[in-house]
Amino acid sequence: MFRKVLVTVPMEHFPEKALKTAGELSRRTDAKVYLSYIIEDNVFNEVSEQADHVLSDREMERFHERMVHQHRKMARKVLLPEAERVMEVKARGLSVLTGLFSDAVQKEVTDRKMDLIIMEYDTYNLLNYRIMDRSPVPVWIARGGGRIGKIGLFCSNLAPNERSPEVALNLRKVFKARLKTYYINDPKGKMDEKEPRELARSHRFKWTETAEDKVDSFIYSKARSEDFDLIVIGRISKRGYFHLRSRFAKRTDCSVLMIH
Amino acid sequence: MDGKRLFKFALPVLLLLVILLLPRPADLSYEGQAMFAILAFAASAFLLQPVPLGVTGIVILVLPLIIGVTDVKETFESFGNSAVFFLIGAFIIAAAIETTDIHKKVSLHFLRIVGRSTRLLVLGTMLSGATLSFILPQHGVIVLIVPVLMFTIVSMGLVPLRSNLAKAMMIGAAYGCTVGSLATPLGGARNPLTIGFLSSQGIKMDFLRWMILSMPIVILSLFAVWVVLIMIFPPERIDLKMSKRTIRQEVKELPRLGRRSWLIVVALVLLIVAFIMLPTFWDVEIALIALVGSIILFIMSGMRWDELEAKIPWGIILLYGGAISLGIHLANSGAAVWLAENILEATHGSILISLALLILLTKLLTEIMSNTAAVSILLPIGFAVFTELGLPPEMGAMLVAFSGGLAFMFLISTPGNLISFSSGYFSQKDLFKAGVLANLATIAVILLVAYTYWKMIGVW
Repeated sequence: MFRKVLVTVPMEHFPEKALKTAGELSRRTDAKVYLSYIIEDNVFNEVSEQADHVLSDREMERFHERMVHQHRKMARKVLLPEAERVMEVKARGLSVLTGLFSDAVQKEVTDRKMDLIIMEYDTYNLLNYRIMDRSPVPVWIARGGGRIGKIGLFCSNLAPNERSPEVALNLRKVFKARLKTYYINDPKGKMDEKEPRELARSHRFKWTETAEDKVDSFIYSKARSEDFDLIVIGRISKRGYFHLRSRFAKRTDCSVLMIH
Repeated sequence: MDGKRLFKFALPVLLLLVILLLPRPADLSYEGQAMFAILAFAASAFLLQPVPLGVTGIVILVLPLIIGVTDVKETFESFGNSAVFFLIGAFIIAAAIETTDIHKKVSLHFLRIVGRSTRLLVLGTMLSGATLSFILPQHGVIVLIVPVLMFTIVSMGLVPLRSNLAKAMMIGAAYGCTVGSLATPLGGARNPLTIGFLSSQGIKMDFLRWMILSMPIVILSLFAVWVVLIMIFPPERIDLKMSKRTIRQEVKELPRLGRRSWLIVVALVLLIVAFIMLPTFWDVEIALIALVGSIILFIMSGMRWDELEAKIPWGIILLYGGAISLGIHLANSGAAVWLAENILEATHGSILISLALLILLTKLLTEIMSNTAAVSILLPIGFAVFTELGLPPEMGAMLVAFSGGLAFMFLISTPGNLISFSSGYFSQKDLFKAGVLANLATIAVILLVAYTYWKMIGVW
């Protein structure tokens, strides 16, 4: 399913839940875990901007160089062993990236042909999360401790739904979890009665519920009432979807797997 | 230009125009109202930063001339204030000291000496930042010691964002520099700004007098902030033998100070003695000492002019020029007195409430904008409030200067916080938690010192 998994470690946030999730996934499947530590340009750009009137450009450049050197050392010497301790599996590699978080991760995923990104979402930092929108591979926003007991699959007439049923069914097997499946016909899209029937037949499952509702509010309310550990959603093409995805990541208490 | 940027440009201009066009209270002069308009422009421009702060400084310098509050001579005279040259001297001195690498030695020796327990390690970090900030600008210090500290913390194997000890040490470094910068006029641009403003109002504040007023605040604040840090981030137990070995090794690996470096250190010590003695006993201007000292240190350091030029943040000097002009014109136009009278009416003339209000307001402003900018806005107001209260006005100015330097809560509060944050060892939430308590603790310290010690030594 996912052979090469990339866990992103930004410098502003230690992703303990993402690491636990990656560890759990690796132990249960043949997935190999790779780590990327990102020395975020935004932080140093912000430093330069804020300190512009009190420090000279030369001082800022020297500081930046020294800090990048220390961050690289720290990633290899401290972060890698700590991440492996949390994951309880050996990482296949650690890359130290510099640049903007989303750009650096996207390049790494493409260059190293990763199958999945596991990351955490934190509102209190300087990162931007464009990667959730741009990633060529699925993105797993980790919450909780990595154990997955209950999964919710959400398909809709706003998403292509090509891969999400298959991924959700595989994850059910891997984690020996319970699975609930939903198909939502959102009024913003064209009503589709054929697709849910075909999806169920081709993947051999029954929908727990099919509904006519706004896709986002339906997912929020189900995620809350059903107490899922993980929800699997497809690439929903709705206006303002980037914000929708950020809201999913912010507002749901469970992990979210966005299939691209 | 996107909407956000347009807003940043438009709001200061709009505030300027609206206040200028408002009906003027009978007891406020046209000059006073115009200065309020410029004050609102300056405050919003300092906060939103549509252009670099240095450029805002130039605009503030020339606005009173354009609006007709001052004439050409008065406008540009304020930029020629001796404190501007003190500031230039201080930056040259800092650049010369940096060539010796003495900051590394001081930081590591502090850690080695006090590193007998994890709590004392935090104190050592704070003290190294604070002590260096007595003689160098605080931002210059933090930018030098954060990489050294990060090297030490990495060698100790402390995990970013998980180790309380590392959080306390990194935040402690920033806070140490912040508190230490109050100690002498060399610590931050707002200090010479205060001296310059006081001198424009006919009050002399020399190096020794400054230290007599500031030192109790610095010592008590360092202790209070240290307690706050170890309370919020109780350091975990680590193998101190290993950390001591690491630090000892680092100290050993530092290159020995060469002859030139020793000469610079000796010259620096003599310069500090000169700063303390000459203005006190022979009435020598501190800007003159700074400039002469900086020339001597520059020659001794063997730096080239282009190297020195690249090390001086010219932006702060422009910001400074605008800031001091703003302060002087607010005071001279009667705007500050008018505002002070209204504040006192609201506080019913209570000394304690006025004092607390002034400190709180300064703290609030300095948390959201540049320290120098916040101090420049509130200096004339603090000065006028204390004049109206019948207290020595220098006390109001010093309270603003000290409270204005202590910014703890946000990354935007002071570049030092952001510089330390770039180590990746603490989060914004950590900084906020520590900052709230550090603010409360230092407000209490300033109030206590101002109310007791300053009274005891006859300030009021």
